[in-house]
Amino acid sequence: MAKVNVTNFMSNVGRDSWVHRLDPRTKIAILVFFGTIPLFFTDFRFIIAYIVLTIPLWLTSNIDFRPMRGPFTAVGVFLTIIFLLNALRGPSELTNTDVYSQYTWYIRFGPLVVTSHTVVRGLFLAMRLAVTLTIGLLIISTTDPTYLAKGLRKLKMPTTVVFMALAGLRFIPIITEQLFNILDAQTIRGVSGSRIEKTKLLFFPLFITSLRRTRTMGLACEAKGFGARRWNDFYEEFKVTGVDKVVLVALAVLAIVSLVLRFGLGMGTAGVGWIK
Amino acid sequence: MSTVAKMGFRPFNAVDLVTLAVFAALYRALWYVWHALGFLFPFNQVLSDLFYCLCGVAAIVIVRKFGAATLFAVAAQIINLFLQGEMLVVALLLCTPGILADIYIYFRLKAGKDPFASLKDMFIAGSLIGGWWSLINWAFIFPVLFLTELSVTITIVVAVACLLGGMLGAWTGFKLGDRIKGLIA
Repeated sequence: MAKVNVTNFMSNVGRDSWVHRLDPRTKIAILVFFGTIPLFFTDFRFIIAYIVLTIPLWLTSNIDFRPMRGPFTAVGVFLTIIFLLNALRGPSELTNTDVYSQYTWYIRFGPLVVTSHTVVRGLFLAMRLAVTLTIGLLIISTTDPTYLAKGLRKLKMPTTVVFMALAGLRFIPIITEQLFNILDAQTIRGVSGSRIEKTKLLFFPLFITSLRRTRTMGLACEAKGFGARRWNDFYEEFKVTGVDKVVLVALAVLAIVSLVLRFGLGMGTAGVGWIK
Repeated sequence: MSTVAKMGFRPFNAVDLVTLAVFAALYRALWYVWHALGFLFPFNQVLSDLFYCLCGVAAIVIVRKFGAATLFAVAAQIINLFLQGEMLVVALLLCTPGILADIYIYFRLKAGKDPFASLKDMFIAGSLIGGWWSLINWAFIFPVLFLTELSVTITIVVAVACLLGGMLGAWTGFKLGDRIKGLIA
């Protein structure tokens, strides 16, 4: 099983680039921007423009894309399913009288129909998910989760929530590795049977080993006085540098321009209305 | 108020928070299972509700404190946000499924009962989580945010199926949590 990609896509965290050096608060701002602004547009070409905006970030972030194959494949499959579910419709689509569902061409594959409208709609739905999914991958692969969590704390998010985010992100690769270790152990011990039987045999060891580690981690935190005082200071220095300021200003300008384009000039909309 | 009930209102410590986070991470790991069945959409979402309630109720049974359901939901969405780049609006909405369960647990604790050791109480709490999850997904998230159009009949059928999946997950989660808490003590 390709467990390597699952745990190694975070291997890019230790690399060095201007993206890696951004303050975590700036990265959170990037996440918020790309997670909200593109969603105002219903024309997939405008949404693609936002995806194109992220390309320079990807190319200049000194990322090794080989470990990213797994996540990219998963995202690609998910988006393809979304696109196909919306692009492939039934014959009733040809007689749809809704004003937003008009088409200029269609192709019929037996009981399935593809029209210009269903393709545009499928692209719109796939693209709006692509923006949020890919920017999330970029930020996670270039940021130590501890920094991200500390950035959230610097933004006054409650310690409880930040600590849970930190612990959860820290444990995902550990749990995944445990999962594959247990599967390998089952193989070595010659565990046979149906997939359901193997999955049942997987659950308990996975839960118990994971939870024992959580107790160790939790007790270690308690022993170090977790919760005894406010968690506001860190030994790392969080400074908003010139590059951070440029990125934040650029995001602000892009946000204003986007809102003016969308709501002031009415651009970026498309007829992605009801389909049958 | 009974001693057990008082214990349910203690503040969360690091062990509790890490436990909740790990169950949220486990839900995330199980995400790949129902996601691989994407060709069954929308019925693969039944598994999502099932795993959500399974992990949520198991976490509540192990942590045994008021507020655990909501914190589990928040942890799951934060992990979803950072690992999947989930839409912010969706993530915010999916932080709410634990609230009804926590309200139920609150009143049971105030009545002096120990809901965390009761299959009936945890089944009801888990069903509230699963029901609310199903409602916000099929009444708003999928039709409005994702513009996924399904007929009214299919929507109702899949929403009910998700609720039933959540109820099964709640029952399984209690059994799992009850068995595990003795093994990890």
